[in-house]
Amino acid sequence: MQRPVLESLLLPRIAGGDQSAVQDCIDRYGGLVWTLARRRLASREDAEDAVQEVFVDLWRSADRFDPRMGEEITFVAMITRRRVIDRLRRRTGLPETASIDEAGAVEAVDPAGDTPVGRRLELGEEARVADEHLEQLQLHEQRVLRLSIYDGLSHSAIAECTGLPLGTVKSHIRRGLESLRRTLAGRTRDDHRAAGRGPTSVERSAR
Amino acid sequence: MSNFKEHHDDAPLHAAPGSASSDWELAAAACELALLRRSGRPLAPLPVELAERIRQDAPAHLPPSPRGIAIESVPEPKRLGGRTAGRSRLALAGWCTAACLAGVLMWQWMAAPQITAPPGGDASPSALADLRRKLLTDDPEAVTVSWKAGDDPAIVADKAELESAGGLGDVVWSSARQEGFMRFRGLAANDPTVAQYQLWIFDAERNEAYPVDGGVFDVPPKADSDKPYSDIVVRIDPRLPVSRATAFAVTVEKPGGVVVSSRDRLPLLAALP
Repeated sequence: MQRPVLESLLLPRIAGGDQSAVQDCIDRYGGLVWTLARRRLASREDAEDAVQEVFVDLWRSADRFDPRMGEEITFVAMITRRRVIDRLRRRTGLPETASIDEAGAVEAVDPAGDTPVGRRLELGEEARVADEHLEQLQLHEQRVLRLSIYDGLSHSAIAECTGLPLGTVKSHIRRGLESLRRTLAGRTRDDHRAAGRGPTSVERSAR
Repeated sequence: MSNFKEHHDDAPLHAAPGSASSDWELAAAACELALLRRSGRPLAPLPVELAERIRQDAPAHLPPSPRGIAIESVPEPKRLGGRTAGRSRLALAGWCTAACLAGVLMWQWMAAPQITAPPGGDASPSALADLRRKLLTDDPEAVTVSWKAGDDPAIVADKAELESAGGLGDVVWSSARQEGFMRFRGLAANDPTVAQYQLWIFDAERNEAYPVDGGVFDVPPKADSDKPYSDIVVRIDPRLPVSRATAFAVTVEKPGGVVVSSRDRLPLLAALP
């Protein structure tokens, strides 16, 4: 019998009021959400508040997750980015960033280890596809995207740092994300076309 | 305007899920995950005390768990003219079709009937029956299909008695409204702490292996022991949009239901012609 690959999805269980999925969700995504929050929020208190907000958002909006639109882990990362950016916007001044080392790498677990956190370093099929997509970009485009999305620098800071005109920085970011968006969307369509609806990227990554 | 907002104009990356802009947000999130993956650095574990706070706080924000409500018998189903002609033959064929789609049909279960409420709702039992009738009246395209029994102890009714009582019940489904109701007769009562019934909706637009979760429900113990079979009415609560329903299946699952059923126990199935 075909293995029920959707078994790994947790948000539909949350949406169904399954309280037993809460712990599973915290176990599976806690490390990711915490890592993403600590990378961008220098204050531990801010990061803790943001992480709590992220999980409240997940409990409340679990029914808005549609596996046809993308992977669950990407949805969780999106909610996390949203909360972190909200928090940064509420503060005055430029966004704070902290490296993973500063943010608690000492607590980190060996990714090759057999602990849940270690296994979770597999960040999904969409992350792999996005990685491949980034490889296709020019180096300076990759750098701009990295500085914006990963390091959280403002457009003007990126312009200053790279020596590129501000308009060029903005267009690199927009073009890079737009092409990635199309790639991910096309991939989802292909998945659906392949098997009537076909397993989504989430399902495939869960195998 | 803060310096951050002034210089970090990522508004298109920040929109409600489901909106066009959320595609950008998902792309940005995938990009961040890719770069995190590329870094090769391990994830930092969530602090234990923070995890505990999140866990304790969760029940206040979770959607309510579906609950059942006992009710007395409900009038015979109002069939749509022509829609139910040859129902039993079609249902039988549908049973076979859906059984193939589902890939399995071997199950078992328990005993007694009544009416349950819509998942997460507090509608009275009679209100559910009224809503069912109203749906049939309001949507002429709504379909009605009869349940066929699997080989499962959850079917506690004697077949002859069931026939005199009008069968195992039926499903009414409105594709336009994404709404429906199920009626059951002769279905065993369940202990929600041990097992719950779960509905699955097969959609022609989706992979057959992954039917849409229609929600869990309970069958409470029969309130009136004099009545051999009273009806259970359950509102269908699909977790995802259903483009074109082809079959409905009821399985027995652990409390709270499952994301994917092993289909070890499948007492009821209703297939559309």
